[in-house]
Amino acid sequence: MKRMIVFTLCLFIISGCSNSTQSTIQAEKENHSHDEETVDPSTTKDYSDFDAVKDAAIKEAEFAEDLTEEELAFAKKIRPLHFDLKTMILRMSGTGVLFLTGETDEAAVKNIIAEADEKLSFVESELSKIEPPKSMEYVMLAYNEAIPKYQQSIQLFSQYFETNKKEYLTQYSELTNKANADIKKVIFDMWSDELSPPN
Amino acid sequence: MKRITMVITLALTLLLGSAVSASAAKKENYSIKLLEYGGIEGYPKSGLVYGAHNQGTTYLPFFYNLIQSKDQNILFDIGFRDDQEDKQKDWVKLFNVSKSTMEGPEEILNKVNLTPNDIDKIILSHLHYDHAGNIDKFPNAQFYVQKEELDGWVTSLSLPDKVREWVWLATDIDHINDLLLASSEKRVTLVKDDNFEVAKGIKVHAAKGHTFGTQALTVETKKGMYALAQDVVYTYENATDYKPLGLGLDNLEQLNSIHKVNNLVNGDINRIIPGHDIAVFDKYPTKKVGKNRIVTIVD
Repeated sequence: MKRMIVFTLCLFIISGCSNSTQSTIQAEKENHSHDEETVDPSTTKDYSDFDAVKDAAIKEAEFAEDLTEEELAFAKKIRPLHFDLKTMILRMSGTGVLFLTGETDEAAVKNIIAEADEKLSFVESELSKIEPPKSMEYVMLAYNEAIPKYQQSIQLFSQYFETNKKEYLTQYSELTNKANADIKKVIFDMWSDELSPPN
Repeated sequence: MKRITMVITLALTLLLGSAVSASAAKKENYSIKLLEYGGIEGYPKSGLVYGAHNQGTTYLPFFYNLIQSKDQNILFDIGFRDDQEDKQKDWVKLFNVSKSTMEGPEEILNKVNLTPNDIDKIILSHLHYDHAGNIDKFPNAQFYVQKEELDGWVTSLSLPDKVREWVWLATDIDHINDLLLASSEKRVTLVKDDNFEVAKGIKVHAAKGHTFGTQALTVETKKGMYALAQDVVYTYENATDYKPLGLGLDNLEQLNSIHKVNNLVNGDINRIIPGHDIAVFDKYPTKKVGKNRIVTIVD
């Protein structure tokens, strides 16, 4: 009888394992067949002729050489300032979340406000030194419109943490979003790589 | 003697069987549905699987994961912000798709007889803009984000200019502001512990690599446990072949996280729900409602 029980238990275990292994193998087969089906053969490149593939890729690529020298020089000056602004506001909001969830202290909030003030003054000063080419005056205008909104946003952020009144935070969010919209107006023309699909 | 042995064996079998069903009965009765909210035609396979540079293109679906019990409605990720008036958030232009199938939270949830106000909890797998958009559309939800994710984004801003530019490519400033407003209403939980239980039978698992603090989710159902992976595992191939995704901050961490998800379901690939694989449409019951599909993993 003991043998019978042991035999039954063994059967249970073996059948369980075998089912699970079979289903995993089956699933893998299914998954890989899906992978193959999903590939559009017309887009698959034949790398046996590497030079031909390379030439085709170069033809397809779009380069910044469409810009004039003046435009390119302007873009190179503006790009770091664009990211300075984006960084500044993200650091402020991110630190705000950390503070409100109890993950950082008031000193960190004060530091970030001082840092943002300093950064904004720097960006404003750098922008004033840049002379845009005629074709890119609209880009310059977008940044110049954003600056006063960011300045006021910092004050609202500061006021919220001093008074704990929600309306200041709501106004901060609305105003920074407007300022962000200003600098994002030119994203498609200037920094399209910023919006690559990340998944 | 033979008869007695047979009877005992049968009784034992029944006992074992009832023990298994009793354990199943204790599980929470969660349903899991994938709500497709859009997708990209002709997405390069290399974006999904590391090294697949010559393997053509595929359709890339995007999903909210809806987990429901009789008491709770929980979403795992809330997609891209649907703002057709805002040209900066023009789905077609952003993703270079010929025909937009984009639907917003109201439309998507209406298909399952819900509104954004009905959502109790939202777990954000990470803070990329196509997963953490729409925060402002869910006024009653409690949000769960890994603390490491937020810390990572904030500290990475101190990196050298050229480095942080790349790191920050896929993050929308507006979403962080939305998270700030939700924090002021005590609706944001920064998760610090691994295997943190968000609701009975639902746990989040730190699974970084794609971003600083990406997280996966396990859900216990009447059919057993499922791991919802979103961007920890884009496609089944990532999990079966141990290949990192096409995009990630750290490939080694990605593989460790893929291994972790595999371990969470004891290596059973059928228990993993990837974030962007069209295979789910054939693998599970799927129906098209409106512009997109609903996939039922567990009813």
